[in-house]
Amino acid sequence: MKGGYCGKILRVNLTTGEIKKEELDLEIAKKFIGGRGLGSYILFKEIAPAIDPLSSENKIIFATGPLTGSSAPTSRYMVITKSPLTGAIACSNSGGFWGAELKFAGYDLIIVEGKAQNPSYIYIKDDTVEIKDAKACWGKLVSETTEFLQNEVGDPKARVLTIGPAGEKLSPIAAIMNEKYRAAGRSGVGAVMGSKNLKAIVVRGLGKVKSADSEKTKKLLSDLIKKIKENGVTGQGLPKYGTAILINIINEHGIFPTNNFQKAYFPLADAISGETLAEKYLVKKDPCYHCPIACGRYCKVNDEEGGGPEYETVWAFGADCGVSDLSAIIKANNLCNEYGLDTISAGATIACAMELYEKGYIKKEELDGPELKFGSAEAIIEWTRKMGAGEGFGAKLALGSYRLAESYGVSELSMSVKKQELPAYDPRGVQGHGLQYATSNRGGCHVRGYLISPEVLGVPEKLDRFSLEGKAKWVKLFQDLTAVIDSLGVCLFTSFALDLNDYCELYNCIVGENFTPEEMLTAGERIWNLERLFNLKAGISPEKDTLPKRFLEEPIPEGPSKGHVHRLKKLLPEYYQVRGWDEKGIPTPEKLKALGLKD
Amino acid sequence: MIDVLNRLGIKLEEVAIILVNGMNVEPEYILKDGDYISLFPPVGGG
Ligand code: SF4
Repeated sequence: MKGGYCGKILRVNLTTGEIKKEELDLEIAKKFIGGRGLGSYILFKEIAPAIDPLSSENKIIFATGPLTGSSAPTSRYMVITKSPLTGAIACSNSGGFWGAELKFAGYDLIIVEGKAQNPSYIYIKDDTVEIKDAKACWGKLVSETTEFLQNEVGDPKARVLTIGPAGEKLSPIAAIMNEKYRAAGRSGVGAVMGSKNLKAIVVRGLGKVKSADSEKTKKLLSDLIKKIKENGVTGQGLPKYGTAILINIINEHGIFPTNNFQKAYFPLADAISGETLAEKYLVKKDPCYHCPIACGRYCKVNDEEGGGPEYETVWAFGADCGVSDLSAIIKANNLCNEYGLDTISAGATIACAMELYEKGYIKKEELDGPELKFGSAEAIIEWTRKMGAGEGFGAKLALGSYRLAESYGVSELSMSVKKQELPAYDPRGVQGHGLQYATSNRGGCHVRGYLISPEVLGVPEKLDRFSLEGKAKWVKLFQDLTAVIDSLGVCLFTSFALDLNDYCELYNCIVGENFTPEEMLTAGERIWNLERLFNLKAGISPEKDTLPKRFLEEPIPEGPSKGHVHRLKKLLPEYYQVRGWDEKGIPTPEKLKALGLKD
Repeated sequence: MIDVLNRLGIKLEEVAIILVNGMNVEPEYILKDGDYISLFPPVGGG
């Protein structure tokens, strides 16, 4: 064992109460890097992909990467499980400090199996691991639970990962929160914890993550930090304004989804922009562990304060619901954090409900709360609360937009892919990004391959956002590279400044390996194909590699991207080909063999 | 466009994205009457 990895896996069976510490198979770990890759490998090996995600047969894996908690810039952990929202493999990623703390306690990952009889939490203090009673905090909000558990274990420095009431009530859009405001948000991972009666995991570790070659690592790090600081995006844009800086930019490109994607330009965008946020509500920055970028925000409205909101959140509760009241958006964001809801899915579901109401599918008599009208600040706050609490019509909203729209017979009004709500970029005006939405292994998502970077922001080079040329290749490259970055345990935002060579060198220095950048990228491709295989076995056929009808048939009605639809039909065959899959979208035996996924 | 930047006292290196009516243009672009210009520094997020 050299550096990076701890070399230990913690396995907790909640049915039997058995706690096991297993040795990490380093060969396998390196083949799949760690985090998302290694977690996906274990999940695929240990569960049958077709099981019910909320049954006790599902497992939930909390995985760090080899660079998590190391001296590398930024630190993340991932939650891998079968998603109750999509039925696909879920990997939700979160920052904060929890992941690093797990490494300090000496574990690369935790595999949680079975189902506890009563509400429970897991307490890890270095070598000591216990399953404890969580009856006293079941039903409590996230910040209250966090403080309660720190108190109960008698350690204010203990890091708390927890679900809120939404996860307890098995909402398929429930998030897992850590340090109160950081979220492994997407794909309903919170509901899987809830289904296991697992309220929280509290961690405290006093160890360190070693570097194989500390002299070389030190030198490399000073170069990389310099690169991050000197880069316009990571050195200035993100630290100064956070992710919400994107609002005006995306809007001016005419790809800022408004009123449930019925339009793509929001005339009131400036009122909810990152600039306005910084001017009116920002209290301080709130960075994750060891992060030189510090995009995290901490805001205050009246006497209510909390972490965020992020760009995607401001969009979901803002433009997507037609709301221009930033203080209401901040409140809805705080409610999501407290109840443990994914902000993108929650906001986008309310937006979908607003369109269903506008078109007469949802009737006024059904509502035990404010009218679901586009533009209503009152509606986004109150319905978010009711969703979180699973109260009245809120319980129906808490199922997510797909199941909601489907119950009225109009699932096409859910702006989702594989039942997961799409984020804040209209695919009709960014063709590559749209292809990435359609093919993402976890359903509607922007962080499996952020094509906005080249198509809009010009990083690493500017691509024509309407053109199809070369887009399939770019999507594959970004998807594979992102799988590498996630699996290493660093933040995707570092990639605005760092490239594959940097990541590879960093991995080699810290772990003590000799990977080439090509081998690293192949590991990313291996992970992507493994996730694909899981999904195929879970019954998610390639026909699901698609976009809601609106994007394929209705041109954007106004603004700078007016007249465009998404040309998926042209792009998808090329993408399958670039991936080395057959024309139906199934990875070929040759491809799997080349990637070491088949003998 | 370069003239406009000069007149506004904005250095070309500080600008990452230049839009005219929502479309990307090069700094050499010649402005027409009624053109709507957006200039953005290097930013990112998601
Ligand atoms: S860039 Fe932002 S999200 Fe990423 S690690 Fe830093 S503070 Fe956290």
